[in-house]
Amino acid sequence: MANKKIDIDPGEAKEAILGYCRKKGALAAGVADLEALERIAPAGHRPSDLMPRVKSVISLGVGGQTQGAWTLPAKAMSFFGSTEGRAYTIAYGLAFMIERQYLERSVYCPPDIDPELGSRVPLQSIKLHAELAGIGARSLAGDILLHPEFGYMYFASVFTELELEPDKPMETNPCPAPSCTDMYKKIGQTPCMKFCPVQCLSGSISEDGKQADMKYDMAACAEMTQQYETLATVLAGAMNADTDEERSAMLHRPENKTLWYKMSVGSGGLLAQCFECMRVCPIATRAPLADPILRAEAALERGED
Amino acid sequence: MAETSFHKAYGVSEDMVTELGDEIFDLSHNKQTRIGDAVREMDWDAIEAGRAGMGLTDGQIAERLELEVEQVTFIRTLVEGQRFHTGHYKRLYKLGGGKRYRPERENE
Repeated sequence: MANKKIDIDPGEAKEAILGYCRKKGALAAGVADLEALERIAPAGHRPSDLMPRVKSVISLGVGGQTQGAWTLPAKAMSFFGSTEGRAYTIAYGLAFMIERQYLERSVYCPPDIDPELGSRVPLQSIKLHAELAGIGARSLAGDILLHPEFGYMYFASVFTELELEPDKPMETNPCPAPSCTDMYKKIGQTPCMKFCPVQCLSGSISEDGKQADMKYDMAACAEMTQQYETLATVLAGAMNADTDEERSAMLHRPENKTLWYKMSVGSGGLLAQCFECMRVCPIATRAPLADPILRAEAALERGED
Repeated sequence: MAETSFHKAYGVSEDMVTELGDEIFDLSHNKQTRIGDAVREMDWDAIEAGRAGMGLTDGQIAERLELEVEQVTFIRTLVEGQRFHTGHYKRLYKLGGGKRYRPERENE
């Protein structure tokens, strides 16, 4: 776009951009190494596949739910447990901020599925962006990113033609926590593995307490976290029912009626509704700044209001 | 499952789905195995060595099985739907508030 160019100090620009993210509520933000992203992401899912002249990928993370949320039943969490909308809002605003302030094309990276590839393949790996930007490390819980201070976050990305200095991935991985290693030594499973409702997680921990391997049955996980995938099966079952009574039961049984409710109110609760691996994760729930209470207590200790 | 107009459109027979469905599903990222922490450590050899374990794209599977990409996508998504258990979700409704999943409680 920009016919007019302005002098930009890349260091100052990066500071302003990351400062914007924090001011708007992000707990962490960073810039991913574009060259590494292009090399790691498979063809069709590289940043340049979406934005050909992209020069920088900015990743930001917002905190998960309140501390109180973890005390609620899973069926309540299934409606409101995710907080990713806040991350998307910040990223959306950031793209506008960069264009307005630096006259360089920028875009909120859609976190959605690739419409040509079914329901399980995203356009981009927001996770990879965040990992390379140094704001999360892969856990034994299906590679959900964890942060040593903020625990479990939701991520969003912005692509821009503004060139920014990349950050590095985190130097250490907080997963597994020492208590998880202790449990693994006793029973061969960490809490996330043990309490997964579909047993989609397995793996091993090395003698020095690091992740040796992580196995994730994503298809099984989808049965708990991608309720929208149920819809086609339910509708096909109703259409193919042998009797009117069977058809009626298929459409009106309680768990299926929930689907119609969620669809009619536009509920985000059709995806990412299972939190059982994170509920038992000591990093997600008890990292020093994992929830608003812990962050407020830390601020009070620092003498802030 | 009988062949449909969609099978024909993608050049896929039901025999192909039967013969290749499981293999395509297992090669895809429906099943993921990560060794170590290669991306965080930027260990390029390990990243390359771990690609297949983390799941291949439809294009990579097509190359390996000598199929068209669209054929792989069609078979993969078909099998994903066939394997999806809609009944497991209700397990969630019994959890939380201090209660954790225990396989032995499944038949209670």
